[in-house]
Amino acid sequence: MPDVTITGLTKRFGDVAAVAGLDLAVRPGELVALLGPSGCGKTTTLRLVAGFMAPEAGEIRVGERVLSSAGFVIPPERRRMAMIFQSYALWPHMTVAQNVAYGLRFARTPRAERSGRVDEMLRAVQLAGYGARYPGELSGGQQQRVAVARALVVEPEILLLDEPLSNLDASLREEMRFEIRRLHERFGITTLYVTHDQAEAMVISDRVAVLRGGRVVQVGPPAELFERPRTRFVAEFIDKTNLIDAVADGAASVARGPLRLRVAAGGLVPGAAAVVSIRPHQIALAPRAAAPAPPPGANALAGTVIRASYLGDSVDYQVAVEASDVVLRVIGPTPARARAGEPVAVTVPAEACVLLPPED
Amino acid sequence: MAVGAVSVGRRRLEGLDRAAPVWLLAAAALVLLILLPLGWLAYISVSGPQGLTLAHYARVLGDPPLQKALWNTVLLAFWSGLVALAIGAPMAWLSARTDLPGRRLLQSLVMASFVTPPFLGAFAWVMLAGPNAGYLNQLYRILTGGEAPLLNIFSMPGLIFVVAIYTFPYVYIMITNTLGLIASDLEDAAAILGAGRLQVAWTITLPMVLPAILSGFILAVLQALALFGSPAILALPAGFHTVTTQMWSFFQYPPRAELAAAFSIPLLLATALLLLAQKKLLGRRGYAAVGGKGGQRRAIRLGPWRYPALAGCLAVLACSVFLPYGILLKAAFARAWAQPLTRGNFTLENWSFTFLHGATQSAIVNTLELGVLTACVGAGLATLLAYVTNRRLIMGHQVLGFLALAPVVIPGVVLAVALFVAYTRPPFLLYGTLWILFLAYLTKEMPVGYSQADATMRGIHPELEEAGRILGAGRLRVLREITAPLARSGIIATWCFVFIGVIRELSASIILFTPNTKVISVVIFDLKEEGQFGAIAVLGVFMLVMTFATVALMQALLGRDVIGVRTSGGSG
Repeated sequence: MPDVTITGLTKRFGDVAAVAGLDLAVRPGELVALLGPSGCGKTTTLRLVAGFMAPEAGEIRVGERVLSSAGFVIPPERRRMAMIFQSYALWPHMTVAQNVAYGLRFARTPRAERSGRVDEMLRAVQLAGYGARYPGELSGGQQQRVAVARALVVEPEILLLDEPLSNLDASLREEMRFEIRRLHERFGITTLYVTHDQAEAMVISDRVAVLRGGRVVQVGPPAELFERPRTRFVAEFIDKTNLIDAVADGAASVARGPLRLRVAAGGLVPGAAAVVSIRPHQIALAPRAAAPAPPPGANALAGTVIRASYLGDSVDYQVAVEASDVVLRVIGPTPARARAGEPVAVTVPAEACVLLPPED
Repeated sequence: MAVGAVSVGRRRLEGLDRAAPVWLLAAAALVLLILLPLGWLAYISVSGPQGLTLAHYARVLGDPPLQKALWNTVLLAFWSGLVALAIGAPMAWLSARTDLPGRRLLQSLVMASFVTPPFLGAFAWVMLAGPNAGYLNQLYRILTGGEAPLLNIFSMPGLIFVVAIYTFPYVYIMITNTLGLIASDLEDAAAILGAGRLQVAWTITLPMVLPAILSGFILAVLQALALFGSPAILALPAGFHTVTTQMWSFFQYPPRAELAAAFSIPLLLATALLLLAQKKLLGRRGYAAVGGKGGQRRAIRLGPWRYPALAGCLAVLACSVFLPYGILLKAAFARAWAQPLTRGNFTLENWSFTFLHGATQSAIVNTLELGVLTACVGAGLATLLAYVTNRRLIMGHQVLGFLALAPVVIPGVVLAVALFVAYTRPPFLLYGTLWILFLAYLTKEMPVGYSQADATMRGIHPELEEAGRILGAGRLRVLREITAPLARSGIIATWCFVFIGVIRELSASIILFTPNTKVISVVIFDLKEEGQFGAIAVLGVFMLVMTFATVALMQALLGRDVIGVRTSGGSG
């Protein structure tokens, strides 16, 4: 399996740079998700990699082969890639088997082997026996599987997926996440996966590249992005978080008015602006009267519950911190520990307070 | 170094779009098709023996008879537009929003008037309301014993009437399409706030339909401006000219192309301006707002007015369909069309005369050949061009879309003048061959074909093609194996539209034909001079049968009503 190297990739639409000097290296056999809000350039990047568009600057290499650079683009049909589209793009005038077999003609597969390969692949996506149906006769999830089979059967060097699950309903989407991950582990194809759904990106990928304004702002394994976001944008985009604008008042602590927090990192310059990110589920909460003593080194705060929402598997609180304008979001286990209006003790471990640069 | 150069060269080659020549060829064909004749037209209108001159314009605009022709065209276009509006708007409302009985039938009959060649209708009305032998006038004399005719179709009001009964479908289609988009909730929203029925109609429904009403009016005016057949049949015997008949008379021996060219420019500008106004009218309001989700439309109850309303609609359709078709059928089987169809008067000679006579035979062959050829080339070219513009395959693709639609503003007579000028001189000497007619038809039908093909291409998700390409199929292969099968029914519809347009074409043919290249419409026109009404009727019936057969074929193949979606385009 070859690797994919993208350097300085730039694509403009009129005055707007959809992709602005994007760099990304995908290792052989790796699945990397391109994650970001709409308009961040993730789909444009994917279409540039596929060769549907020409970049204004930068380069896309697969292995040693340059596929795209300014003024030179190898057309998609000569890239040895496969792609799964948001709309699935199944050809309605061909049967499932014809759809899946289409690419084999160009992959130089001998005619005699083709139907065997198609059957084998349909079995792999659990659609054995559906070959003679037309796409219009299948459910959304089955259509999705046909699209996957059509892409994988040609044994592409690179697989591209453009929000492939966004047209499925919630439960099917969750099931297909695991399915795609399973197929990736089985075939090990170098894969780029575009999505705007952070949960999907976390489940499916080896590494996630978070895009913003046509650039990669952070790339890393899911856990790293979640636990150590490097920018305010990443912290907010990867799941819910509390962000507190503060000022450093020690090497490892920050303050916002009377509120002081010990943080994970050291080496702060007192007086410098800093932003602290705290994930809601890393905050502990108990009624003030019954609160246990906080572990040493943890931040112990007093507050009042403004709102407690029961969500079935968890309780979502809003807590106003005493003598401060900070309102923390806290997610705790059921049953609810406190009701609205109740005074509570709030415990935030220092390592849960992740420091971010003030602006990005 | 040498190795590097080779690999760079190979890379260039590898990156090349091998299909590019196809796109460029299609684009070049279109540019040549449209710009060459129009360029010559403009040039010839300002060129004299001593270089550039405005003498031709001075002459055509300063000559009192020509001024009169211009004025007649203005009168004709305005009044027939108004009459078309007065007929089309109420019928549109009745069939779209009320519980009028037989609405589907009404719709089909309106479409029948829509596809009836207007010059055939004019012929039929000569037989119906000619001052002496006209059928209705005979009936009137028998009933009242009077001497003077009731109706004289050879007059300006007669001409306006005959033009209007074949242009009102433009108004009808525009308004029914818009009314069909307005959900009842929009009117209910006003009613719940306290507006009475009339107030709702006045403040909500009418303002929303107004752009459609105005643009339907403009379309009808445009048709009337460009029409040649009806004025030639009705105005010339009455002793007056319109712009189109005047331009035709410039081509009676000796041809004065430079005068025709100068005379055609005002007509071209007028149609361009009117079409621009229509686009503006339709473009300004957010029609996306009309429609919305779950828009239910309730039929308004007419109560005791149901049958009077139906009678009114049928009266209009009697004028445009029943009476003309009836008289044509009768004339086709009668020795003397003005006499009752008794056993003695019944004959099949008209048919044998028409189909065995050499001149008509070759005209039928020419028409069918041209119809099939133009429909095939036109549908193919329009599809390719729509593909190029929709997928933005070459630079300047927006210009291509504009050019393909541009002939809408070119009346057939003007187009014919332009083609005559362009193809009677090197490098293209086509005058006197069927090819010049082919080019005229291809150009004239391009807007209809292109808009149909464009709608088809819009309906094909680009990802369907991209999925083929990323798996290894080149552009042309994808076009052949994926796009074309998906566009099949749209392409068939395009073919049929072009074919119907071609077999009825008169206004360009009448200037471009030569004795060896006559088509059916031209022969009908010639036969009129000889007073051969029986043969005219046979050819007319033949033309109508072919038209309706094509429509039926199209609807059978596509399984839906296709005529209703077409809202603009040319007519003979």
